[in-house]
Amino acid sequence: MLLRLDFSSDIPIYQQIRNQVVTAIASGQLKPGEKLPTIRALAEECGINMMTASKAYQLLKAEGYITTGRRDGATVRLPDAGPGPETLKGLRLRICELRLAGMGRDEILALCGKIFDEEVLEK
Amino acid sequence: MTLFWSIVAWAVMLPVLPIVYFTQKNECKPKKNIIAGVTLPYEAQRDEEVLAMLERYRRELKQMCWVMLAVMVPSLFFRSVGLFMIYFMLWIIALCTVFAVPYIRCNKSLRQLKEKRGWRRTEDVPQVVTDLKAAAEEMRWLSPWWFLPPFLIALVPLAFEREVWWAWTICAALVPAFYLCYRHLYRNRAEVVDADSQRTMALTRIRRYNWGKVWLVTAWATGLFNVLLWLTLDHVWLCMGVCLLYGAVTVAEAVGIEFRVRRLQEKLTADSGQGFYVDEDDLWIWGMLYYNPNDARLMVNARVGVGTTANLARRPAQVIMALVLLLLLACPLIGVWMMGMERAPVKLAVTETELVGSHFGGEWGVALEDIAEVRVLEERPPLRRVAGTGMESALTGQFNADGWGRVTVCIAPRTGPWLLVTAEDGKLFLFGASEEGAVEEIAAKLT
Repeated sequence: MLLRLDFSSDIPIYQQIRNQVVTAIASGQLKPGEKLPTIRALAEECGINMMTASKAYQLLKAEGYITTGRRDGATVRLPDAGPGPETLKGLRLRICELRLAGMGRDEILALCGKIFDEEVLEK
Repeated sequence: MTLFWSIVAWAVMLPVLPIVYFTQKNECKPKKNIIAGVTLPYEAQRDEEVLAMLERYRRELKQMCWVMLAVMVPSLFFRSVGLFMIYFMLWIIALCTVFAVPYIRCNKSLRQLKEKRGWRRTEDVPQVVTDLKAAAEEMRWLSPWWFLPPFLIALVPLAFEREVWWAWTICAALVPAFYLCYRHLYRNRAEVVDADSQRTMALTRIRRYNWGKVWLVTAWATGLFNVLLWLTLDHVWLCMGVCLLYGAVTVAEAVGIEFRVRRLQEKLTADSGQGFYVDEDDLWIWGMLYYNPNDARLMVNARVGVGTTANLARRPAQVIMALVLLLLLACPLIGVWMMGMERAPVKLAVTETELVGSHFGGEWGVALEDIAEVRVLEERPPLRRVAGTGMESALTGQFNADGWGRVTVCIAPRTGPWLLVTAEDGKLFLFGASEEGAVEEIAAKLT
């Protein structure tokens, strides 16, 4: 799985890492049980601060996408429960934004289906 | 310096030219999907215009090679070692500069062509691409035990030859230094060329394996070199042969590995770049100098060669680069210093307590009360240098002489007679002076 970090983006680097790891898990590029680099290796590979890499892993761990061990580093896992309240809140907001952009129910569902195919099935 | 020694010096120093030539020529081959410092997609690597540019680059390199060889010819006739060194060092600086010119020209032309043909992946800039799967693969370091035997071997001369202990110690200390370089100079970054993690991991393993191999072979060569040097110390030609062999082995091994790695990279990436490929060209000035303000790393994998290079966007890297440049530019001063040595007279003097020979700031003396015997020699015994200076105008330091063993020497070899002093403890000293008559005068004072 390729991680692409855009240093000119407004999205913080740790958030970019978190988002791309989540997308990769959803698309099957990263499978449960698969090892991720250690914080040190990730920082070294990306040329970022160790704190930034650590923050990304902490976020992923808190959301249930990875487990971390003292020796083994990070391992990919699937979250136990369904989407968290933050995810649903974010989805509601996006649907509202799409509605305000002039899209109807069917158009929004079709768009969701297209994005799902692109992000999950095609990868 | 006689014509013979000029030829010997040539034989030692001239291999730099083919090494630089072939290393630069090797840049025409794809290093992963990078040619002459430019990342190219699969179809571009076989493009006629690209191939023509590379052909021109090769032609220019060949021309430069002949020019540099011709420029070196006058040095054959220099009689001063110092002048030879100044000329050679200037030649080395010129070599580095001259061979960089066609490379930069080729790099610029390829980049322009890449832009014109739409091969540039603008969407990647300023992205940093990392393969998570490859990054998760831990590097298996060579055990330090592999470096212990060469270290112990390198220490062997120290047990038998204490007089120049510092020389053996420095040489032996190189072995652990090589291990530290191997362990700490390697940058962890994986060799990402495209989305194929298996390919990235294979490329990374090749690099890691060869990195270890270079340092380990060099460590073993250094250990054996130390022992062979000690064993051949009394045989000038053998000793010189050992030094040449050591230089040849280490250089050939490093260059050979670079070529082997390049061949493997070429093979592994032959079909890469057909879909997505990593393009970091905008982070490399002229395809050889890394400049990325968003990268926290100081050292990164080099684009040219198998080593590492500094990120010039970081202040420490700028300081390192400036120091290296200064060092390179200061190299001709070695020749100036040697010329000073050649011209400095060898002096001999007696103080109230000591007999002292001096040359170019260095002094070799024996206390008057320790002198057991003084002899004036009209013929100079053949001397073999152990440690010190061996010039046509001055011999100073520790030497070996047949039948005498170790002698501390400070003489002008062309101006006799010479003073052989035996100390109470049996140590031998051979003194001389550039000024005619000075030795006889001192000898009269002492006797």
